Amino acid sequence: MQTNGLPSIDEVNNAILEFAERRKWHLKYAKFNWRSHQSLLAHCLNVSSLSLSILDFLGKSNSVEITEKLRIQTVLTGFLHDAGKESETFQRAVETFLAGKGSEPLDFGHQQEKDLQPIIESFKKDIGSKLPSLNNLIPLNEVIWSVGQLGRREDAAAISHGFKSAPSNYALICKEIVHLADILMSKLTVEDAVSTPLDGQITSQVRLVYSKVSTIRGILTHFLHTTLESQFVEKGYEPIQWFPDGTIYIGTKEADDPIIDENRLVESVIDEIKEVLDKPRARQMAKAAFGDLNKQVIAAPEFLFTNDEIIHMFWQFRRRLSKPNIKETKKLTESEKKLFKLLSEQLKDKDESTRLVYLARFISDFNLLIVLYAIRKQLIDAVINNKKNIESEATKKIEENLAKILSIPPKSIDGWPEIALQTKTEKRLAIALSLWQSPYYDDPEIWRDKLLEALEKATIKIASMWRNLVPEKYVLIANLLISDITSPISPKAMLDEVEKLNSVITEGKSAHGTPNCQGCGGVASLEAQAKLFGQSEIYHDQLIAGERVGGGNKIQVCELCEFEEKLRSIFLERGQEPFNAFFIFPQLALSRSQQVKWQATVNNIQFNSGEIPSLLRTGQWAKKFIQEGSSAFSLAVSPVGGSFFSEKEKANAIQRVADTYDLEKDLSSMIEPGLDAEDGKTVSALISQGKCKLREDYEREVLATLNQLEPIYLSPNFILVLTRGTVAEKNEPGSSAAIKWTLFRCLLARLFTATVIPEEFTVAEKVSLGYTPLPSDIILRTMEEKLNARKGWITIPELERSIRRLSALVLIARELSYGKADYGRATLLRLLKEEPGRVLHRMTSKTGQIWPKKLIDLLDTWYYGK
Amino acid sequence: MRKPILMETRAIDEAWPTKEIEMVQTHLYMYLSDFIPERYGYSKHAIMGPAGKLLGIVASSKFGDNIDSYSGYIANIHDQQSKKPLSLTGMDNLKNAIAKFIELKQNRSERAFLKILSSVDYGVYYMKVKEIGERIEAKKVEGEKT
Repeated sequence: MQTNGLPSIDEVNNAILEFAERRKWHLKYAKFNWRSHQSLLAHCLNVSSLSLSILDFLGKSNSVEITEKLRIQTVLTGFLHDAGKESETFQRAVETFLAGKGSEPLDFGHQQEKDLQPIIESFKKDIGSKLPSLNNLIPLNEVIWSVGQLGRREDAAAISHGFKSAPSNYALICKEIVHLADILMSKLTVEDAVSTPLDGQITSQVRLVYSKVSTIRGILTHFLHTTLESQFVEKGYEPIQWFPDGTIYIGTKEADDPIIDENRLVESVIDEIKEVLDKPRARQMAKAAFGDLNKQVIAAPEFLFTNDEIIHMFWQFRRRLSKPNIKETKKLTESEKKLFKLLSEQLKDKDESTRLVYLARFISDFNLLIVLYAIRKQLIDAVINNKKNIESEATKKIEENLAKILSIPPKSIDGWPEIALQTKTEKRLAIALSLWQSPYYDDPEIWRDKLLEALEKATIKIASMWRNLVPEKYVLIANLLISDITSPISPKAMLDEVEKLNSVITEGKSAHGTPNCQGCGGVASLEAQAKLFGQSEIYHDQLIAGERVGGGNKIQVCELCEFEEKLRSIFLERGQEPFNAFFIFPQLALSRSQQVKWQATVNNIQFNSGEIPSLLRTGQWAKKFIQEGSSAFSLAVSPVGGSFFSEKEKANAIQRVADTYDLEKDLSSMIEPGLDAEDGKTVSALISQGKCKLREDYEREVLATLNQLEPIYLSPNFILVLTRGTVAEKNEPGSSAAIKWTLFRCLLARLFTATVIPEEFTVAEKVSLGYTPLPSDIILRTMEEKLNARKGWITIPELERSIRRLSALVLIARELSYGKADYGRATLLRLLKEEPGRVLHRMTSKTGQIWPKKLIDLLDTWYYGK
Repeated sequence: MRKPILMETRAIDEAWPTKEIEMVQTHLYMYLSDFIPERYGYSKHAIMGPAGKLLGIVASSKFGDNIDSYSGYIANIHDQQSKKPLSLTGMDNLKNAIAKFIELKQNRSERAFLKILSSVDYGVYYMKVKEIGERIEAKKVEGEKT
C-alpha cells in the first residue's frame, strides 16, 4: 500500500493516545448505564481501532478499495467521533443522571460541529507538531462531517450542502464503518453486539458471529478463548472485538455458519495446555507438584508424571529442601528423642555426636522416602480397577530399584513397614537398619547421590505405569472445559450436557444435596485443600461477627477449578500459591490496538527494570504520584537518581534466580562475559560497575522476581494478574492491607485504562460501574466516603483523585512511623477516622516538630482532597 | 435490685453536623487572629489560647446557655493573656461560635456533643498550626530575599 508520506497507523495511535490522556479522557464518561460504565478514552480508542479492523476486513474481501489515507481517516473519525462528550456540560449531565437527579443526556447532543470544532482545532495543533504530514494530507473537516452524521438517517448529500461541497467517498465510508463500530463498542454482551443490524451500503457485505463461555475461571478460560479463536479463523472469520466472556468475529456475508468440531476443540485445548506448560515451565511444574509433608504430599501428580525431565527436577528440588539438620540432644523433639534412643541402641560403638549425625541423615532420608511412597499412593488412588495388583506391582518396582541402586539386600527391604508420616517410630528402625547395609552409606555425599538416583528411577517407573493406567488428566480437563462454551454449540452437545447435569443432580439427591463448587458454582466433585484457594478457613465479612463456616480445612470444588488453582501455581516463580489474584477486564469490550497497548503494559510491569516502582510497592508509588501527578504513569520516564530497585534488592533477586537454577557458588553462567562471581551480590556489583550484563533469559527472571507480578495474558479477552508478594507489612491486619490493595488496583486500572476486579468479587463480569470496586468491609466505610465512591465503585472521574487521596493516606502513615508517632499495626485504619488536627498534634507532641509541613500537606490531601 | 443503667439512644441515628462544626471552627479560628500571646509557645495549649479554655467550660456547662457569660469569661482571659485587645469583630466571632456551640449542645446527645467538641478542638488547632507554619515559611522567604 502506498503511504505517500503519511505516518504509520502506530504513530497515529500513539499521537491520539497522548492527546486523549492530556485532555483527561480517561476521567470522563462516554458510555454509562445501570451496570456498565466506559471512559471516553477507552471508548474512542476502541471505536477507532475497531473501525480500522472492519475496514481492513472489507478491504481483504474486496468490498472496499483501501488506501493508507482511508485507513488513517477511519482511525481519526473513530477516535474523534465522541470528542464532544469531553465538554463539562455533558459530563455534568451524566453525573446528574447517575446520581438519579436528572434525565439521561441525549446521545446526539455532543456531535454538533460547534462542539467538535474547538477540539479539532486543538487536535490539529497537537498533531501538527508531532505528525506534520497528517494535517496536510487528511481533511479533518471531512472527519467532522462524518462524526456529525453518525447514526442519522437523513440524506447525507443534502446535509453536506452546508459544507458547500458533497462529502467525499472516504467520508461516507468512514461514517458508515465508524457508526457500526460505535454501536458494537457500546454493547454490553456478545449477543447484543452480533444482533446489531448490518443494513448499510458497505456493512451489509459482512456478517458478525460470536463465541461465548459461561464462566471466567482464569488460565483455563484463556485456553478456551484461544482455541475457539483459532477455529473461527480457520473457517475464514476474523476476531475483531473481545469481551471478557466472548469474542466477536467478522466474516463475509456468504461465510458458512461456524460450527465447532468438538473433538478438534478438545485436541486444541490439550495442545494449548501442553504448549504453555510443558516447555518453558518444567521447573515450576516440578515444584508445584509437591504439596506439603503434613498435608497432601503430592499435590499435582499430573504435573510430576508429565516427563522424565520434570521428575529429575522434582527430586533435585526435594534434595535441596531435605538436607540433614544435625541438632544437639537437648534440641531434639519428643519423637526425635524416641528415634534417637532406638538408633543409639544399634550404634553403641559410636560416640554421641556421630549418633546425632546418623539420626539427622536418617530423618532426611526417611522424609524423601515418604515423598516416594506418596507418589505411589497417587498412582493407586488414580487407577480405577485392580488397585491391589497395581499396589503390589508399584511397591515391587520401588523396592527393586532401591535394592539395586543402593546395593541393599532385597530381603532387608521385605521387612519395611508402610512408609508415611504416621509410621510409628519403632517401626522406622527396620528401614534405618536396611539403609545402613548399603556400601555407599559411609560417604554422605555419594549416599545422597545414590539415594536420589534410586528415588528418581523408581518415580520414572511409577510414571510409566501412570501413563499406561490413568486417563490423561489434560484430556479430562479439556473435555470438561468445553462444557463452558455456551456458543457456538451443537444441539447434540447441548442435549448431552443437559443429560449429564440431570444425572448428577439425580445422583446427588442424598441427605446432603448437590454440593456446589466454591469457585464457579458448578457441581463440585472434589474436596480441595482450602490452602490451595488462598484461605485457611472459609470466611467472609458478610458473616455475623466472629462467626466462621466450619467443616475443617477443605472446600468443595469442581475439577476445573481445582486444576485452575494448580495451573496458577505453575506460573509463579517457585510453584507457590499467589498472594492475590485480580482480573483486568476491558470497559465493555476490547479492540486490537487496546490489546497491543495491554500487552506492552503487561511487559512493562512484569519486567520493569526500575523505571517505575514495582506495583506492589504502594509506598513508592504513592510518593511518585504525589510528586509527579498524572505523569507518574508515563512508563518511559526514567526516575531521577536511577532505579527504583536498590542494589541490595537486585543482588537478592539475582541470588534467588541462581538458587532456582542450582547455581551454587558459581554464577558466571548468568552473565556476559562469564566473569567469576560466587553470589548475587558480586554479580550485582559487577553489573553496576558496567563490567558485565545479565544474560537475556536470566535478566527476565531477575526482573520478574523484583517486580513480583505475574500477569497472565494468553487470550486478548482479559488479564489475570497473580501477585508473588503482598502490599501488606508484617503482621498488618487484613482490613488495613485492603486499603493498600485498593491503591494497587487503582494503579493497575490507570495503567490499563480498564476495570480491575479482585477475584473474590463474584459478580465481576456482570457489573462494571467504574474502575475498581471497593472492599465491602464495614470498617472501611469512611474510605468509601472519602473517595466519593458510588455503589461501592471508584467511579471514572474519581480515579486519579482516589489515587491521590490513598497515596496521601499511605504517606501519612509512613510519616507517622518515621516520627515514631504511628498507631502500631493498624495505623491506616486509625487514620481513616482520625481528625487531622489530632494526627498533627500526635506528631508534634511526639517529635517536637513545630510545623511538619509535609505531614500537613498530606493531611490536606487525604482529608480535604486538596 | 441494682439500679438500671439508662443509656441514651439518640446518638445512633444522629447525622454528623459537618457544616455546623466547620462554622464553629471558622469563627473560633477568626477570633484567634485577635489573640497574640505575651509569650509564644508551640504546645497545643499555647496555640489554642482562650479558645481551648472555652471548649472546656462549654463541655461542663459552666454558665448554662448564657452566651454573654461565656463571652465575658473568655474576654477576661483574653485581656490577661493577649498583647492585642479583643476587637469588635473578634468579639462577634467569639459570640457566634458560642451561640452555635450552645445550639449544637441543645440538639445533640451528650455523647455526640463531646465528639463534636473534640472535632472543633482539633479542627481549630489544625488551622492554627497551618497558619503559624505558613507565617514561618513566609518569614524565611523574606529573610532569604533580604
